[in-house]
Amino acid sequence: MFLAMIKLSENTKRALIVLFLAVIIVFVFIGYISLAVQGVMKKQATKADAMLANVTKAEYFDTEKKFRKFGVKKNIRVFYGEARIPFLILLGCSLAYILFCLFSGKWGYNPFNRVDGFGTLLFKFDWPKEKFFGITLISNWPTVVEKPHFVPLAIFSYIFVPVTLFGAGWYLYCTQAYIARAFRIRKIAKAIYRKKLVTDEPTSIIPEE
Amino acid sequence: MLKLLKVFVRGILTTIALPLIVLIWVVYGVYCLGLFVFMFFKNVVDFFQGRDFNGDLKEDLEARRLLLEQEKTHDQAQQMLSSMYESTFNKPVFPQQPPVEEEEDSFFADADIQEEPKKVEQYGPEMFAPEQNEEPRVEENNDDYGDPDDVFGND
Repeated sequence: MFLAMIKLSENTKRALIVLFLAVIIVFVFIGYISLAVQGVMKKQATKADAMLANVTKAEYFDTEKKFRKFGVKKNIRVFYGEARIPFLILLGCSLAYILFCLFSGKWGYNPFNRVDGFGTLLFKFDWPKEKFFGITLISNWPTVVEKPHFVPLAIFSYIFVPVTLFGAGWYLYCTQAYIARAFRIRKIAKAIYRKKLVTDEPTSIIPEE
Repeated sequence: MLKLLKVFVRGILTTIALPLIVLIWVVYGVYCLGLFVFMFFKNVVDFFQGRDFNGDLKEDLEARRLLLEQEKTHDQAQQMLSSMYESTFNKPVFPQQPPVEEEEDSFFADADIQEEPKKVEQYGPEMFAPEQNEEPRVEENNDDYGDPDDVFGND
């Protein structure tokens, strides 16, 4: 009844269909990204198996708590080994930023700004917006307000921003690996020490991914 | 289609849980930063105390030693078993008899016997000609009934 009262023009119908399709595509894309992240984490977690292979085969620990404690210890060591280089990159960037502020006298300098920062290398768009059923939505293609242009004063930010982002991304990847291994250690500990009468995989000690 | 639907649902769930996931990731990132700094200073102290900070943990070394011991024990047990088997089953039944040699596997034993090669028949004109040593064939009258006119068998 309520739906019959809504009269939609041909253009609105088309816009609604396009919007619906766009939403579906976006969610499918996000779904595939999450699947990829899960796959990467599974691959990262296999290192936990190698870390704990000797103590598991030798049946060195008699309790789950001790096993997990050892697993955490090993995990931290592996993380420390992996995160050395990104940490050094981030440390170097921080030092460079402090030195830049010291010599330029611009304390609180934003390296992403659009005047003398990394923002000068980015496009700036003006998106036309309209209200659609009470929701503000983008209604048309944007107009370009600012094009990328080179500013000699911003040369520090041109180097600083990509290197920092690279270091931060690498560090976050290492953190993700740490989390994946932590979950895996927990799972292995449960599988070994919490013995069940009926298990899914009676032949293997360590459960598969 | 069903797979795509699953991915779509997964995408919706991920979007809903994304703030929580990012929060956990950031918290872990900060925690790991603390761990890293702690490990760094610990390793500096270890370095000046002359300890190997990149080496294996003592539990690892101990576990490896245990595994080696297990392997050794296993090998010794196997050797003992094989020597017991030799002394029990390969002993001669009577002392004056020589030790019984094991027969070769029949499969390999058969392989040494060479059969005579079979003659290969060749099809040619000589095959259809009569053989020289063969006696000329005499047609025998196998008719036991005799002359059909001689009813009483007087011949």
